[in-house]
Amino acid sequence: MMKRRTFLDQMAKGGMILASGLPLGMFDKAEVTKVTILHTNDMHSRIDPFPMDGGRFQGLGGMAKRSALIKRLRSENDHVLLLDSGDIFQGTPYFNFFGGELEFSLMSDMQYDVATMGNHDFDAGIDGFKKQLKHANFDFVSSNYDFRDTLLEGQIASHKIIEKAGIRFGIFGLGIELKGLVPDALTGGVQYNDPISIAQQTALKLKNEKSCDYVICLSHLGFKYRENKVSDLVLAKETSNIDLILGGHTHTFLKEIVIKENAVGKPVCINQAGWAGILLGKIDVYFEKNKKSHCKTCKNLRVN
Amino acid sequence: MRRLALSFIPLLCILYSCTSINHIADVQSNTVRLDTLMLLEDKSMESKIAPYRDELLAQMNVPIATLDSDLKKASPNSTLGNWFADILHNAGEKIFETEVDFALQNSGGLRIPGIKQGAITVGQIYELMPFDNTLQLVYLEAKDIRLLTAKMVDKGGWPISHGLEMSVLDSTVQSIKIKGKPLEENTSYKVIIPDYIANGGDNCNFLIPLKREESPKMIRDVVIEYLKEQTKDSITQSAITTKRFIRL
Repeated sequence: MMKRRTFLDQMAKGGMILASGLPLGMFDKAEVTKVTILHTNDMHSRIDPFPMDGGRFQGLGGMAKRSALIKRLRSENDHVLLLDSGDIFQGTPYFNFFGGELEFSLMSDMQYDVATMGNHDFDAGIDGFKKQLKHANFDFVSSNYDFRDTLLEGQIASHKIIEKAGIRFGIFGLGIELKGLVPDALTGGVQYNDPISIAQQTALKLKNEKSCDYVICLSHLGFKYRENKVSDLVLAKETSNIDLILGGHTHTFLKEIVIKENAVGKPVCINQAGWAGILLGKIDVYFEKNKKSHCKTCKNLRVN
Repeated sequence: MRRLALSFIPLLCILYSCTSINHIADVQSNTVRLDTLMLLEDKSMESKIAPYRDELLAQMNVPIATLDSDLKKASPNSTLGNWFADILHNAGEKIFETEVDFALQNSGGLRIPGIKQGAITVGQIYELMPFDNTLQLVYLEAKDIRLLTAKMVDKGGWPISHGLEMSVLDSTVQSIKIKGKPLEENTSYKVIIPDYIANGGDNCNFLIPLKREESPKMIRDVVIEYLKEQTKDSITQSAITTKRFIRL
């Protein structure tokens, strides 16, 4: 695994990649670009690392360390996206005392690009969330929460398009059902819509109308459930046009990306990075640019 | 002739694609674990955090009780859950000035995996119960208790206090004992429940219409006060290993 990655990295840096297992010179040069997607979820106000008290996570996490790591990765990789899948708020006294100001401000310093809202981001009410937005210089996206006639009307986009090295990334957000999870008094009239149908429409629009090359869903639905409930696995199976789901809510530690087939048999990658900033998800996506529909270097993503 | 040739261009474009395509050639994941030895901190970020941390620590690093053994969170029974639910039970009786039957806390409301033996600080209680939840005294009849216990089984078991014991076979509640006695019809049981659950949270809608009393005090403040009083009375906190949710 490690060897292959290094090989690919070197090839990609050279701007050229060769189909493996075949003699050199048989193929035209292919222009390959690597875009590195870094992501977190459920950071739950964990500004400092877990205390050294013998607990399971002692010494792990910490935003100043994450910032140093991200700076290093930015220096090693030309094209970086930094994303978060929600539940930024709640979990340490930093939130109780400062209302999320520090969380947003540090994420801005780390140059987060886009985040979505988790259920705990409503914990200080949507007025509490709105009050902190001035500390966030990154965007929030949510496609299935309808903020019309609420305090957040016009402040949360359905999706955002970011271009890196000429590659268009369409990024949209999905939130979990709030009823029964967040008291009505805190949600301030936000309407929840069915994530599957919204995801289907949004991803199609991003791929076709907006000509995105790669569609990323920031999901706070949860990785999977025992009961029959919408999750990232269900989302992957029942939609088309999503390439990558970056999840949250269930605090799932995945060793590597999970790859599933979507509704039309194409691969969808799913990842989740535990919680509390213990992990920083890192996904390198290699794009081959050519004028033909045939791709020389494409690997078949194996469903696992 | 020329015009005809030109009109072929769009068709050729469709066949050979005139615009470039960005094919997804490969995806490699390599999640990084942020552990202590791995790297240095970002100094400028660290100095931005420092004044916030100092302000917090002055209030959080205050020991309020002593714990003589580790408390761990688990489901359905756990030392952390028993300890916490018993505090809600005992403190709830003082707040509502009445004897109650039992108390419960939803698992999701307890946010740390455990508390280590030694001093318990204000900060730990904040982390354990960060939510601005309050307590309610809710009046439940036998049928409501049955719904509540079934819901708890459904959720994999919730922390419950010393007043309640339930036996469960597979996913069905076989018996319920309240203060050692079987459930009685036409009795109004007094149960201490966090407002989040009492107001229908975690799909407990059946609790919404029930008669209740409310207290404006936040649960973590209730717990902090209770622990301080216990310490004043020279009482040390201990793990209780009794199983209140019994799988048959």
